[in-house]
Amino acid sequence: MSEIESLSPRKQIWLRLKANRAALASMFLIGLLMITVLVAPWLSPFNGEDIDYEAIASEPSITTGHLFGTDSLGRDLFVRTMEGSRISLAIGLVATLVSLLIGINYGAIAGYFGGRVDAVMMRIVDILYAMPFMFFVILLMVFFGRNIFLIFFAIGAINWLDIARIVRGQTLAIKQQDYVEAARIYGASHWKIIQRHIVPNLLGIVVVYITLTIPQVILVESFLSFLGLGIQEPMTSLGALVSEGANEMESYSWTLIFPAVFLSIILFCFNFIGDGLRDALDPKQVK
Amino acid sequence: MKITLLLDIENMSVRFNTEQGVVHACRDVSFQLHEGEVLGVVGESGSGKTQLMLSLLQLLPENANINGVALYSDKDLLKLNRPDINQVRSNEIAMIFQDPMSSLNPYLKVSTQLTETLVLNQQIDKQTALKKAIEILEKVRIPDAATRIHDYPYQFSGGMRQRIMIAMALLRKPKILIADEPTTALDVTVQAEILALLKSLRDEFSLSIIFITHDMSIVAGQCDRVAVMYAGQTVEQAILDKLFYEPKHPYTQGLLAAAKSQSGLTDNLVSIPGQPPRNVGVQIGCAFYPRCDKRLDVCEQVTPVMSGSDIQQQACHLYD
Amino acid sequence: MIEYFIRRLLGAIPTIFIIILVSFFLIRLAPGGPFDFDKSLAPEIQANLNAKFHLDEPVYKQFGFYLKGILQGDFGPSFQYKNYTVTELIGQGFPVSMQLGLSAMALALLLGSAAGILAAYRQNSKFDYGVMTISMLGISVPNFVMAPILILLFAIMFSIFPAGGWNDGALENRILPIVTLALPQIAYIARISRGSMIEVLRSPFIRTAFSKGLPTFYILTRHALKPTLLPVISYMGPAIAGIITGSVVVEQIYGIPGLGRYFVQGALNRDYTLVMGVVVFYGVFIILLNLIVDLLYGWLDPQIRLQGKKA
Repeated sequence: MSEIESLSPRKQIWLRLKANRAALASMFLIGLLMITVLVAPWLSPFNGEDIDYEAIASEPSITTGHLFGTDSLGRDLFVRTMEGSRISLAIGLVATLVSLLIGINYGAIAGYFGGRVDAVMMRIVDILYAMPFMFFVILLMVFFGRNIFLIFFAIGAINWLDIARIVRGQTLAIKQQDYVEAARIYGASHWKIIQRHIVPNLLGIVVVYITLTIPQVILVESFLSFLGLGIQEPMTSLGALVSEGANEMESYSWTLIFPAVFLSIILFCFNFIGDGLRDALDPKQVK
Repeated sequence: MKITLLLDIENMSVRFNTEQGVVHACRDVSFQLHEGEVLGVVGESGSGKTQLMLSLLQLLPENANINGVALYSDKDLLKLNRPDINQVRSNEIAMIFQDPMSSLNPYLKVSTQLTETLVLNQQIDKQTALKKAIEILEKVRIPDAATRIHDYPYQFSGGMRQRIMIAMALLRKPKILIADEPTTALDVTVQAEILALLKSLRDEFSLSIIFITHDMSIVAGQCDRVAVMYAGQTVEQAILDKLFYEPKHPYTQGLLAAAKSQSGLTDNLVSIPGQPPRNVGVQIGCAFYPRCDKRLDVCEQVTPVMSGSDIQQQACHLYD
Repeated sequence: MIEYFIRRLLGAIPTIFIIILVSFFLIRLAPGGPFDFDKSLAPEIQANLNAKFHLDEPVYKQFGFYLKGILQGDFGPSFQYKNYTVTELIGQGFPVSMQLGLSAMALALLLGSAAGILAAYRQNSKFDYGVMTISMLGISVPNFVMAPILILLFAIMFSIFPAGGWNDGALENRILPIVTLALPQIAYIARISRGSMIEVLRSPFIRTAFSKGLPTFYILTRHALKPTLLPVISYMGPAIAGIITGSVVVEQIYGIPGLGRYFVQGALNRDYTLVMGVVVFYGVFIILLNLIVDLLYGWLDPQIRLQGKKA
């Protein structure tokens, strides 16, 4: 009787991911988008600040060279959308990393030390969970100005709770394992143990978390920019572009549509990828 | 005395389409259940025993592929339509499951779960149904039945929950009771109580029972006839005495040896070396071949078929 | 059950306290804010401020006064609307937001659960994939993108609904804002109820119900529905927070005079007391609603409701 070889966990994950066509298409699309966003502005003769007096608020056309048209001030929309996408993605990445840093360390410390320390730290997380963070962020923006670093930090600080909880759970589980006991007996410091043994085991979860948090962060940033509380001129983000577009949509609908479509595609794709990764890593979870 | 044949399973196969290929849960299984008898179905986990029983009542998920015939009352259970199979489930064949905690709905009162079939399928009014339910709870020795029937499952102990499941089955007055490892999840002392209860109720309710288990001592205490399953196939069927005193198939012999050693009758712990197969893909030859200490060359190439008499039959080349 | 309630209540109190504390300090620290005394002020004005905000007392006493004020419902005067107190403004804006929010929540619950449950029952069908994809859209597309698109479609291209304005709560003015608010929540609730239903349908007690020959519709409603909806009820807390956050944008775009719009205007115009007041108000509101949701959940789960009555 033939025995079927059991595939290694890594292979299984990869296979499951490949089977998820939506996730695959999304990855391809995002890759394409990122390349476009980085490269395209060099290909265009315009930049995002120059005003083209001959083509103010003009529709998209190939003859004028403005592929996405221009906005009400005559700025080329294509380049602006590319720049906005770049800023949005950059903020997404950086703020997510901030979240990650805070969350992983917090969770690992709580899980590793357990007992009282853990109880108190998790209680704090519970309390923070219930608070309407968005409002606090807006507060910060109002009171302390629209500093880009503040934006990074504030947005990053919203999302770390989830990853902290997950990391703490994993740490608790791994802590029980024998090889950690052995390391301690050999005199490894707490910090070394956390770094060497616990962190590498979190890789899968962290990757899923990153892909799911990036769209959330971009959403928050766009939200702030839309309200006029985010990125300052001359920098622009997709949120700000959508805001401008919404104001002009009755007359110049393309100023809304292009940034809106880009923003939606980015969020849509990241969500699909994150979902797909999560399913690939843990198929028992109900899809 | 003529013994009526109640259930006639012939050449049943159950296959599942999964990501890793076709899983054969049961291959070419045949056995019979007669009126008034207790048939034990024995095997390790993965031998397909539960899948087989679930398929009789059409309780398997949609990706299951079932072949063969299961005759009950001149009807093939496997081909019945929805209303007819519901009729069988409700009034003719009842099943009790392994884990009574998860098999009872935690959000509904015990009274509801007991009376619903009576009210819906047998059109009995609520008050009468409740009365009957209380009576049956008393029969399975739940103390204070009239009050406790309005409690939720979590408020009962494991043993009591299994009694409730038994009550739920008996209330419908079935002809056949399929008990899928009813005592596996319970403490040893509670096990004994439940088994004794089943025995006493058997006669009172004129039940014919299919008893699924992996515990040979339970088989010895409860069953009239036994079917031994391995890797989705029946490898031996015999009346109780024959199986225990003259087991023919090497797997049966292995099981008995292991059971004896566990109960402390020998000095060493005996077990059958190796692992049960994964049942994926088509199989050639005897499934037990890799673990058999009496194997012959022919065993690897030719699948053995059941041969013997009504009293004892086995699927093994040693007896061809 | 009482124990459960008291534990939840005790948990809520420190949270509310912290919100008020943080708000208090933020407003004091804000550069250019009402308490930024870099420039020296005329003595009478300084004296006025001292009297009003007790600035000559130690900080903890100032906090005490602030706390007392809040408990009495006094958030101070508005900075932009000189003749109004923050409390009055909240009183004007909140009922409007409440109406929109409640309708959106109800719509989300009904539509979302129905879609999710049907998708679960017909798992892997075209309907199922459709629901999952549309719900992904609902989650991904931000409300400030959806709203202009809806306005473009239904108010400008096909003039079915007005493009904005409250019009004293006329029905036609409500439809688009309510739909915009509800969409992301419909999506989340559909996903949650679908996942929940799939898991419930796989559980042993549902198999037991089928094995008893009960009719399918009965099993779905009497046995499966409640365990399926429990996670949806748990989600109500975050859902309410989501709708409140969403209302900030929705009211802005549709020009609805709700609390969200007051908040944004206050933020843009540096009306510190108003912004503070709304944060504290909504914060307490969310926490109280979370408490109610917790209680509801506890009541529905027999193991929590009948705590301590084991035999």
